[in-house]
Amino acid sequence: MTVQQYNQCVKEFADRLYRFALKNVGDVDLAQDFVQDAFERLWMKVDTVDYNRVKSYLFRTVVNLQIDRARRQNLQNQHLSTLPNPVQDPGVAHDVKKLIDDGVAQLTEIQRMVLTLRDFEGYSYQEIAELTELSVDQVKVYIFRARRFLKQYIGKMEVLI
Amino acid sequence: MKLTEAQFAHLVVAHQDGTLSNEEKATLEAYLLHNPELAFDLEGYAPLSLPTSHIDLKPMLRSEFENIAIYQSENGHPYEKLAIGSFEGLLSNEDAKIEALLDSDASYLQVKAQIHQTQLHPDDELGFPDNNLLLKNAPVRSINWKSYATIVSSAAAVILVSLLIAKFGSTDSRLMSKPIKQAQLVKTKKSSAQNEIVQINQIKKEDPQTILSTDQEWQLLSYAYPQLLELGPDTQKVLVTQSNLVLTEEITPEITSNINLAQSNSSAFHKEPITMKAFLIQKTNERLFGTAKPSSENKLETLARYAKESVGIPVAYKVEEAQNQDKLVFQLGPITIEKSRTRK
Repeated sequence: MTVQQYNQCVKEFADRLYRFALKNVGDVDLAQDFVQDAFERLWMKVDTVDYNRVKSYLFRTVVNLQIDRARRQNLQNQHLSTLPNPVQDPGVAHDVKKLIDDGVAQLTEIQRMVLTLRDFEGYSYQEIAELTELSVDQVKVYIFRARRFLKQYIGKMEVLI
Repeated sequence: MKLTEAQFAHLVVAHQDGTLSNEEKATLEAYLLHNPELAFDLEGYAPLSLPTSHIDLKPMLRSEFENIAIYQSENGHPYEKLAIGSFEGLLSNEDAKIEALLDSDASYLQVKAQIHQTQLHPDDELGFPDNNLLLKNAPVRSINWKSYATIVSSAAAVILVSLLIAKFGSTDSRLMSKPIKQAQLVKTKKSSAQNEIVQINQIKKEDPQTILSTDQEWQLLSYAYPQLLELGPDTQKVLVTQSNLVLTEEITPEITSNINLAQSNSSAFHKEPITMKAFLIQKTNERLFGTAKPSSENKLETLARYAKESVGIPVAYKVEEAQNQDKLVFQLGPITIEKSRTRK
């Protein structure tokens, strides 16, 4: 991959990676770090990474960074999400998008990851399985649970509101 | 609609008792529309979640729901499973037929709409703050160590082997293992071939163990003992002993008194006479290693030094001793060469 191709990747994928990371980690600084880290790793391997597979490489890197972070947090016995619980603050959630965002924050790390890969990037189940090193059946179940949870979450919040 | 847990429990009990009023029934149904999983999970509540307009379909759907293949092992209302499966495009033909029966079902459509709402949409206005941080200008400079190492290792191996052959070729184990014996070096005259043959025969007759020298050997010997050059072409037979060079009296009687020139030279050979080849080997060893009988360690160390100076890469060696076998490990920069040596 040439320098020009690398820079093209930055223009094409930096924002998408950032949105994906931000949705998953819920922290602006951390999301930026993940994106920078992913591109640094790409730059280190710029000679060997196939340009046609750069997108997968970048997303896989961010996914791995998130998994590593989740593991570290688990070791520290901390919850994955420190975002405020919208159930305790219903007045903040005033529209469906906000409800969805809050609901996504309630998902488990892996559910949130596969759902954002699915909806943000339109990855197939097979591709998500490869990126996250899960089986296709696991991906299917995680997405089902995530959507069911969100659906119920929206319904409950609308009832409360 | 919002119900507290106590209100919901009251309605459940009333339903089970059959004392549910029309108003309470409407309240419960409205609540279950938003929480269909409660209707499905609690026995006897599923009918309540189905709109009265489709009451005829209920018995059929209840049995069909049992056969829904999608997300079979997962908990959840059949509506949710069908709606999510449909949204994800995963429904089998059989499941799709069941879903088709619910096409006009208001409850199912509501669930389906809610599932559609769960789709996440990226915020296109969000973006990485500064892409310039990620852009690169300089070309990548990296060394392909694999090919480099291959070339270097090949060159080093060739050089090492050449050095071994050049410097240690004479230290043939067959020669070294020969018993040391007295030898005589004969410089043959080239003036007359016939005369030379006669001389050779005569010398061999006198001493069967005589070694006839070649010109090359003579030059080497002269190099080791410059005094021989002064003796000139008349010197025909030289006896090499411990530390002495002795010209045989019968051939050059007039200069035997001048012999023992080498006595003043310090030499490693003190006691036993040796073969010409062994003598040359020892002189070579003195030149190379500084001692006539270098130890293996001395040889390896010198070899490493020569390699380092000639190749220009750091060379090291070590000997790993085992029970019956030693392992020589040469480290030529990034390359490691190992050689086993059976201990005698």
